[in-house]
Amino acid sequence: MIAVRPIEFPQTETVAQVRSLIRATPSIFDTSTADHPLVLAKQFVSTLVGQEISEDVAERAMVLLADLRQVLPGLDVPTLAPGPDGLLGMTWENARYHVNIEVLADGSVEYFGEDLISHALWSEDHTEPTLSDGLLAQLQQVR
Amino acid sequence: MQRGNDGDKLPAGALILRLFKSSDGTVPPEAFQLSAKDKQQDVPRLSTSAEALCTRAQAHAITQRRYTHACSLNVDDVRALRPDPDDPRMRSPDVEWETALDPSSGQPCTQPGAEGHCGITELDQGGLANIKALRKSLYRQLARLANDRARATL
Repeated sequence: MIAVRPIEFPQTETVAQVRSLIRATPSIFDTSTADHPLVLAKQFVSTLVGQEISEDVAERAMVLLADLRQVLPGLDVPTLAPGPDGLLGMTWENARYHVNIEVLADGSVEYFGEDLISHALWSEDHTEPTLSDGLLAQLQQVR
Repeated sequence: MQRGNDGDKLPAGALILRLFKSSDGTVPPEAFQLSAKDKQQDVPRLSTSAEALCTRAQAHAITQRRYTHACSLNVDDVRALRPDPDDPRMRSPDVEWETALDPSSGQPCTQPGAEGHCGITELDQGGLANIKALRKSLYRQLARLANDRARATL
């Protein structure tokens, strides 16, 4: 069952235009951004590199997170956690919605969303981090 | 509490420990995922410890201080979990005794607290449509159960 709400962007740019603007997101090790929550996230993730996750997974996850926070202003930094086999998870949750992103060791991603009231599940897999319309719609609900 | 044989179920009401690492101390769903190696076992179980036989400090030492936090679950709550939406073909998780093995030697671990080793079963079921999403829903529910109970920084 899929429960995807329409994206409601209060913006003048299209999603495609926003995506094209954020390609130059800095490296995980570049903490010069003024986005302090993101800096803290990067610092945590950098402690995992070489132990639980690879530098490539860290980089992909942090670029994706930075992109999401630009496209969805007000999106909190998620709970970040290493999982088995070199994956990094990012989880947002509020009273009704749960959204989880996993960046796997091979660079692919798994997106998962759950409506805790309607019990609707949503998921997408991609070969690389992607700002899909489905993911953006899910994250709108936990913003 | 007396330790049972491998595969025996833990007694009702028992509390189990699970160690994890996260950016803010929140128990993440990733804490309940089996590794590829876990899945190769005859009975895949997610490693936990019975609190009555293993302290947090002992569990921390056994896991070579890889983790930063510990959470607690009541086995009754674990056994009551159902996928959401429910599918009657999916089995509920359970908690069983399991001999802890030393990762380097493959022999039974003799460190203090190792006798408390146990594991959550039924986290790697397959064969159903949408099974991956159902499994992730179970991980999410386990994390929520754990977040509703006391957690500790190691």
